[in-house]
Amino acid sequence: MKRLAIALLLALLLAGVAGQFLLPARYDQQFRDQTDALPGGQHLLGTDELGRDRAARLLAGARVSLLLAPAASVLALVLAAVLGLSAGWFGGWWDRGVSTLIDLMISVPIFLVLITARAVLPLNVSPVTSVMITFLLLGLLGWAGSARVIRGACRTQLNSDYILRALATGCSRPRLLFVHLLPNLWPVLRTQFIVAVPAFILDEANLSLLGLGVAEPLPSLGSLLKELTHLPSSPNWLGLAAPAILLAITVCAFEFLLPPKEGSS
Amino acid sequence: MRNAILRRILSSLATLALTGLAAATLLRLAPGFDVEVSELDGRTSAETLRQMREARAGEQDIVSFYGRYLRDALQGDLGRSRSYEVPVTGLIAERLPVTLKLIAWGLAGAWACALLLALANIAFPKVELGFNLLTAVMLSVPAGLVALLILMGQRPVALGLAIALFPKLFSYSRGLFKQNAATGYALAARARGLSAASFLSRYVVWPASPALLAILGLSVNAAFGGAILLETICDLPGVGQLALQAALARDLPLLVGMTLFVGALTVSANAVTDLASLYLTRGRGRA
Repeated sequence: MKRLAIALLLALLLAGVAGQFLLPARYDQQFRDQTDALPGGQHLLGTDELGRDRAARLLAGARVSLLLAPAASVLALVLAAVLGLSAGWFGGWWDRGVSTLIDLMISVPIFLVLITARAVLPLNVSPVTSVMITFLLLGLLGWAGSARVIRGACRTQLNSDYILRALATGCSRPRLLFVHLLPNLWPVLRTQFIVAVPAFILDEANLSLLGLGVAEPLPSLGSLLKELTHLPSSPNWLGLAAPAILLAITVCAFEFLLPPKEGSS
Repeated sequence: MRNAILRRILSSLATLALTGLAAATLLRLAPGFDVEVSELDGRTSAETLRQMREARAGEQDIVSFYGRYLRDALQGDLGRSRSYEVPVTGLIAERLPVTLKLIAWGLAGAWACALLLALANIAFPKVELGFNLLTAVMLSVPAGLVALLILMGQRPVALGLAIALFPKLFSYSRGLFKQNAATGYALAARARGLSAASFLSRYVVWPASPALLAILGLSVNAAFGGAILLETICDLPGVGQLALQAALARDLPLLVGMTLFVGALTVSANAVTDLASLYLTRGRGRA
């Protein structure tokens, strides 16, 4: 199942990157004489109300989400790893300070923090800037949960027998950190990364639905969902529902990448 | 126990104060904070401009602004909304019942379904794959999409919140129940012929109750996040919708008030559930 999920995600990413070369139209190219067209030969998923190719927009949206959500996750993971590891490693007042910061971030609904932060930044920016701002905010604000897990894992490892034995045999602190501790924390970091990516894709979708995410004409899987409101009045259900289906498949695929314990609990 | 309660209350108050300070700092540092669109209008007189800048002068220094704000807040005055031009307390009080009702129904529905289905999964392990698929699919749907579907289907908004909260609550509950059902003493009790109802209540649910209480506190937090989306998309005039409007209008007093208020509710919920969880755990320890 895991291999299938990886293959699916790679195929989606490849389609997103190669889509702009394979499809006859760009995501922002308008066919003004073919607005709201049904799926057909030239437009696989039809066109939207502005005459833009839905398939091209879907693949461009998948590209944005699948490239930038992992990038935001890396940023969040770096922040979480630095704070969580340092808190677990140094302990004392630094640990208390970091733990308070984590509590602070977790105590307020993250979505309230996100909309506040996104709304105080300029909204009338170029589409590329809006993408950068959105995913940068997700990365900068989405580290708290991972930091708590990493801190806990770090404390557990530091109290384990192999670390005590290494210390007793005179192992230096840098060697302890880089040779013993970090390799054993790697599975935790990997899991946190896999957990963060779909969470960020969903957060971006929610922000876009409120008009605070990726700006037009650049699409993302989230911003394309808004068109679902036309579903009752449009015969092109496939073109309208495709972003929701692709989003669900993408997030599901990440769920299957989780180790069995996390996936089932 | 008394010390633990005192520590938890102090920690909650500190978290709350820091939350408000963080919100005030963020807003104060935002680009364009001390400029209003009307200032760019050439027809605005110099005197009006001076008055507008004077009105905002108290908000320039974050610490003094926030210190004054906290002092007034303790007396029940959260300031005046700049966009609505009415007291913030009144605005929140007016919209709070809508949000509390939404959250209460949403949480009740989500928890009821999550616990019942998690127990069903333990009682009937053969349907595990079905539950796995259900969870995976529901976890893949953003709350905003649920809100859109609720809006299009003209269904109760609380149903949308329950659907948005359900998958994570179900996953956590099921994980805890599975862990308890697989313990040595639970298996031994089952092997001795304990009835399914007694097994589930005494060996599966009851030992999980402290952890479930802790998750209940966190779920209140998640419910507020979901309420922002559902109220905005479904046009329900609650606190969540107000939060987005305050953020978009860069209404500093309203936004800081909202953050403090929502923070107070979620921090209190977490503190109460944590203490209840602690009480249960300690009670069992003594027994």
